[in-house]
Amino acid sequence: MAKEGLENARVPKTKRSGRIVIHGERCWGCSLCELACSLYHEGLCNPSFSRISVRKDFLELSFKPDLCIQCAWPSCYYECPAGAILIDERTGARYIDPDRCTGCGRCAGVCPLMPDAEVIRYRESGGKRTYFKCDLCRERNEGPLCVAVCPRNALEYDAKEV
Amino acid sequence: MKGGWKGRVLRVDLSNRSVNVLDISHYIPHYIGGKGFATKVAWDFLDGDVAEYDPENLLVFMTGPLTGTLAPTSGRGLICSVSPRVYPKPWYTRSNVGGFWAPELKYAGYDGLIVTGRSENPVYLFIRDGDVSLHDARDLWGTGTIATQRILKEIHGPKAQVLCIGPAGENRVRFSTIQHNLSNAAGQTGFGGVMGSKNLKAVVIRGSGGVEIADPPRFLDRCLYTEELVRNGPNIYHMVSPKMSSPDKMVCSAACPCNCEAFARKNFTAKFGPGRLTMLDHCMYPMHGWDRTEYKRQEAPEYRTEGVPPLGDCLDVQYCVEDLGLSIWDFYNFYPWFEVFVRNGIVSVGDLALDIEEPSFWFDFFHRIARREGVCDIFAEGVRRSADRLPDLGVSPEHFDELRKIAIFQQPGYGFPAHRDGRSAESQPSPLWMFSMLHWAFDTRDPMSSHHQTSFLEFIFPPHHGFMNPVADVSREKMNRTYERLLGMKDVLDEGFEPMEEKVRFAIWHQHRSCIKDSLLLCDWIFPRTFASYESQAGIDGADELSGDIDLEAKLFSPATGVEMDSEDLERCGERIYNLERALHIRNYGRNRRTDESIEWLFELPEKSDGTKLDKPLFDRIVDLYYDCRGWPGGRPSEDTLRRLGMNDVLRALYG
Repeated sequence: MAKEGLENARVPKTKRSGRIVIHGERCWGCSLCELACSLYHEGLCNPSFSRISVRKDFLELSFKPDLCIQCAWPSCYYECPAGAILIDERTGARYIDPDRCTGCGRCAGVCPLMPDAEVIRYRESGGKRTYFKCDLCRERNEGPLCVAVCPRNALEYDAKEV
Repeated sequence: MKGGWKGRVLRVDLSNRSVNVLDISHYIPHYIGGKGFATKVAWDFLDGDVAEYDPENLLVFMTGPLTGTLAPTSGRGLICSVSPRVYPKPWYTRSNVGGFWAPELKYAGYDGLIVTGRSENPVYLFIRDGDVSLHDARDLWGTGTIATQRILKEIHGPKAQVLCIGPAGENRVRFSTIQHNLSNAAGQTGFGGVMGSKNLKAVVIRGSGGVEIADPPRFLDRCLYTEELVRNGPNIYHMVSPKMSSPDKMVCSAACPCNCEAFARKNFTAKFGPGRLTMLDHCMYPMHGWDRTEYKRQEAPEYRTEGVPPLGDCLDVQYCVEDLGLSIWDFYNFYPWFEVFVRNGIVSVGDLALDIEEPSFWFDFFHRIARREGVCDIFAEGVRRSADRLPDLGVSPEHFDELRKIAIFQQPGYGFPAHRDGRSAESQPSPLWMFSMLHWAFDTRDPMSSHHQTSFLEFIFPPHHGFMNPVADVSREKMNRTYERLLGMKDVLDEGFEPMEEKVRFAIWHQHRSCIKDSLLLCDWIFPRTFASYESQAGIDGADELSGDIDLEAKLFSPATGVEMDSEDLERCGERIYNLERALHIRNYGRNRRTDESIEWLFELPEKSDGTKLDKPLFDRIVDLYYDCRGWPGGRPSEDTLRRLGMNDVLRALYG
């Protein structure tokens, strides 16, 4: 079944994705990326709704941005029982179609970065969960917004593999 | 209400452990938020006879419509209360605090928090969205601010934001802080003591909501545009600045993209601290030989030597001060004051030996202050009040005059330390200190913290030019042309007192802008953006004038809130807030011309750099003109002024 699933994939399995490279040592914890991300995708400023999340410790001054690395072999994509994870034609981003997402949480369960890094999150409305993750701002021609807004160049968009 | 505000303020009474939510939607938009809302809360709920440590005193934590959003530098918040620092008699004032607590409060669903009453036992307040609870804090009492934050984050998760007090606040030291993270604090106003008097050890906030934005695409565009303009850092002296800052720079607050001098993270070997510290880096110099006017930027490389830098000890002192919950600024008042003791052969006071060149002395001193041990019980009242108790300190009468003089000189207005105001410790050439004078005369605390934009102007004039690097080389004429274009005011930076009316109006404009900035809330180092940023000196040389964009605040405010306002509308709100604060002080504390004049003596001293000075007739002329420009006959907002600003409730209270 799994094999058949791969052959029926909507894009060839070799389709690579662009990727946001994180230079964690440059991050100073300002949260602009989180706020920009949630504003762009959700229409309000709320770090809990951001696709990128920064683990901040202002007592030790350590900051660690967590973001989907757009795996070359994305388990979330292969394992989603609803076929809700799609691959963007232009950027290669592995993204979640909220209309198809049933909220089962399988994607988060199989993600190699979760749960330490909160890269796949969900929101709840009307008793239904919908998962969301980084889509590389696939509809934004200028590229990912978090990269544009970061004052420290701690995020860099690498599209060369697309 | 489309975006920005929540329209709700959480009210917690510690005496009867009650919690309710106050609807403040009628404050919107006339009082903007932040300082405006807090002052209105005080106007509505604070009586004039409430003393600083009374249970009835309000401790107000307030955010603005931009707090918690993407707007650059919007991560700050405001704390207001009756301030134990104010001399001779405490009154209501404000303290602007950075960090991440203010956005979190907004995410929890509130514009602000009002704490009243007094708990029987030490408690801390935990806010998790709609769930608000008080928890036993007896085990935390006596714990330093860093450990307290660690423990509470252990309990409530790493994303919880903590505001807390240290031993100094518990023991009501008059310069104790409310501390947040490593170096964010309500510093000058002694609000730590207010929190201590309420038996409130900490406020822990965790919010899961967000801030609605009325017009997200337009707001996003405006934020990106603003970020580009402010990224270089503080206005004026950072007009020329490289795009990327050095790796040890960091931000103090949420949503700040600026390359700022104020905060740096240093990796160094320290005995007590975490080995990394945030700080106002230039404030470390005094331990290296006290000379505030002469400390030089060149010393900076010392931070970066291998091994243990000589500043390690000083940083440890700063760390200990923050851990105890004290204001570091008072170190700069005690040091020169104790120098006078030593110069007069007084080598010890009570049980305190004045080895003031030794960092170990300061460790000991601050620990004893925080716990009010021995003679430090008196010093815990601050330099200004200690100077009234010289007999209790065992000082012989022949030294009284000099010691009093220096103490008053250190904390010249309302018991607050001077800072970049000319005269007292640093020079600030004419006419810049005239603006400082006008801010001091009508403010409720040391005005510098809310008026950096006038203070920063000094960096373009000798002798401070080049004090901070890189600094722009700009002529007075070019600055004047810039202000003429932006504000239509001519020759405001000319030496001397003329054109006097233009200069008074210039100060008033900054006061209104300060209210807007403290209400939205944005960073005082960055706004208003009067000057543009340049990549190089050549860019400045090639420009006829240097205007930045003073409409930035309005450009951010309108799409965030959905309330369309331009700069003029916002300035009217700023004027309303300034008048409300004045009215509050008239109603509650009988503020009058005599109070305003209490700072005059400082400006009668000859200015250090150019010898200009004020005399009484000249001072009176300036104050008269100021009252005229404001519509404050005799120092009191007139009925017409209040009516024009739509402040009918204030009108009724002041005029019956």
